[in-house]
Amino acid sequence: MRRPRRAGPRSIIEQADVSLLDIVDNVLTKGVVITGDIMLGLADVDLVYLRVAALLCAADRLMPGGARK
Amino acid sequence: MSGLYLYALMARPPGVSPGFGLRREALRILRCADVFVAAGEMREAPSLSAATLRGHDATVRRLARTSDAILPVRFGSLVANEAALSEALEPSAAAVGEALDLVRGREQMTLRVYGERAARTEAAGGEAEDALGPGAQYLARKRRSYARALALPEIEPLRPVLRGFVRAERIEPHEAPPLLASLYHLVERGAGGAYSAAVQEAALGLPGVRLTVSGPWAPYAFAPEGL
Repeated sequence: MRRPRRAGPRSIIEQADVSLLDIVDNVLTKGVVITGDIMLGLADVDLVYLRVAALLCAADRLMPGGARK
Repeated sequence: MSGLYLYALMARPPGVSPGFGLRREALRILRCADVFVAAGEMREAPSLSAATLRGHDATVRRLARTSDAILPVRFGSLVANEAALSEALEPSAAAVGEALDLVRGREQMTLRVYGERAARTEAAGGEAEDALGPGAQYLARKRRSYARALALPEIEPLRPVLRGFVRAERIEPHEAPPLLASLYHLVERGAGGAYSAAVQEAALGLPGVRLTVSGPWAPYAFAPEGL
């Protein structure tokens, strides 16, 4: 069976809406980090984080109002 | 061989079934070092996608509704087994306990501040700093710059409003203008709506500054890192 193509950080950022950026900020850059026998299936997390900040700026210029759930 | 994919640490087990995780795996509640851990069995950590990120957050949110003290675990955390989990948690039991006490009955609101950074005179380092070598002086200047960024005078008029809601605060200054900083506020559960309304109203009186509020979230920003 053909494995589905794995989505990388770049495609997530390019398709992110503002609520997803908030989720990315929380679940990828915060939360308990348990060291030890950890296997993190991620790459380029730092890159994702930096681009989240840039995209929050861009989203702010486009989105009316100031409150998001 | 399956591992344990971790979602959250809790002070008490939920009184209801923990349900399913982001891959529809049945969640288990494990007791480790006086902490209850919500986990699902997985062969490997989930790949990064919008769906898995949303799924992780949705699972944490659902668990938060069943527990008054919860610390979300960062996405992608997979341990080999319960023994490995206990080995990782036991040395940090005290820190986890303190963090759970802090977030008990509370939730996170995220406030992002946009605008032009307020001009302020750079405070001189002083004689002690002048006596340092060039590398140490550079680091001292960076520390002062970071402290200044954390001070956020741009939102000083908001502070009286925030004081009524905020039980703890984490600030992340940004180098991505016009985004000045992200503030993570711990507020009493259920107070998110009132917090948001109060901030939006107070923001009208902040010239040159724009605020966005999101939440409530589970208290990701108040979870200890690097256990």
